[in-house]
Amino acid sequence: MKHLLLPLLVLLSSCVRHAGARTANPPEDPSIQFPEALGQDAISLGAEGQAYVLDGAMLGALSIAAEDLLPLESRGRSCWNRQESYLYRVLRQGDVFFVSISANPSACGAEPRMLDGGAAYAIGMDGRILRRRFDGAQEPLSPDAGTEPDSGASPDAGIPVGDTTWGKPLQPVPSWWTDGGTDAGAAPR
Amino acid sequence: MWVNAQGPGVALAIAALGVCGCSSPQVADPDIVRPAPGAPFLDKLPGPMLGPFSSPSSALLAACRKILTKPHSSAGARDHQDFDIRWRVSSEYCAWMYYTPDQQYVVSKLTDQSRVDPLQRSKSCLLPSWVDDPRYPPDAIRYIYALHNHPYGSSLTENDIRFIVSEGLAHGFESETKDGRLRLSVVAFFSRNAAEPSCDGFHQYIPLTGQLLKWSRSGANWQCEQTGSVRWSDADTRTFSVQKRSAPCERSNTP
Repeated sequence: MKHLLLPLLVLLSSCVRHAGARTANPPEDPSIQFPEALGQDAISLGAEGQAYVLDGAMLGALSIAAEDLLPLESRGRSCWNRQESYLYRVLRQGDVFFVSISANPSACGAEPRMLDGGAAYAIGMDGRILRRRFDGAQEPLSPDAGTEPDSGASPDAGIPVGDTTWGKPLQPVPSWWTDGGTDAGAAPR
Repeated sequence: MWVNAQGPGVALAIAALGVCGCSSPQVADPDIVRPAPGAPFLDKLPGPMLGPFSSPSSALLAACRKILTKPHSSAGARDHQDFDIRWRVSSEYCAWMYYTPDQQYVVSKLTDQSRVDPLQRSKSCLLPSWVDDPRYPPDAIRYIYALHNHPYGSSLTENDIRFIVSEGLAHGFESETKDGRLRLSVVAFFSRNAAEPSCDGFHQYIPLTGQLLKWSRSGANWQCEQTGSVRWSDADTRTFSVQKRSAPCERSNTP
């Protein structure tokens, strides 16, 4: 699983106890915005034979986020209730660590894969969760999801609703898309 | 002391108690399949629920209307006074729209199986990779749309994007149909009205084009907007980034 982001570190950090991590939640700061850079290209840790250094504050932030999304009492019920089934991204900006957690689609073998279910966190240097955002509860990509369509959308020029045939294909597609993947295996009988 | 306990807030609070573990009798809905208590997650979805349809659009819109009539499929607007409760009790439903050997489009039954979350904060739907339609051999079914709803109408998530690419690796990223080569995509429906949900639009990601689209309905008219594009790394890290951009959907205006 060399493409996983930080899973081993998060597993190790599960043993770290953080005072206050499981106490009553202080109010969050809704003014904190999650940076777009959190979802952009990231350096993947885990290359075999390569050592990495991670400071304790970052390790703590990862641990707090992982514990919040999957607290001890919810673990073990299925593969998707295990911390090692997820990918972890972390970005530090000033005194805030931003952590996002998403399902690793290849982590649970033949179990059905997950739509939504991830989360993002802003965590202060003192280990306090400043803001959490669960998948689906984030602000819509454009502000009109809760209103009538605005003028930003144009008539669809006769494209049938949901049609997938009109866009220009990626050139080239990622090579690992064409390597004969068998992620779903054979159909269950 | 008497407390004035009336209105939708109370009803939602009672519903919230139900999903938080108190006994809550559920009336069986023939459209929805779930694993038995304590059983593993379903690894295939039975079909059909809706169809057959002669076009992918008609099947898609029928699925949208159906899913958004299911209980708590929409949480409404965040500024609504009951939003927090509406969010906690909201549910995601998921299904496949598929193409059959007799050249029809069909929607599978729904499931709302999800990761266990005692606090009911996160929403998810575990969509099996396979549809079991006893009329056809498993390998004869072509997978077109992975369908689900977003209770708050938010855009597609990283999990949604990774999900559909993994399904593409399993089933192929496009299928030959009587309507041409249809590309696999993931769709998230939304409604603007939690009290009386209707099919008001959906977000869509098409891996083979990288397009992130948003379709919105106004009356009988639909509008399409390109909201961004997804670029995957070619490396084994399987990472991607999203470039946000707003542009009209035009055949000449593709990523």
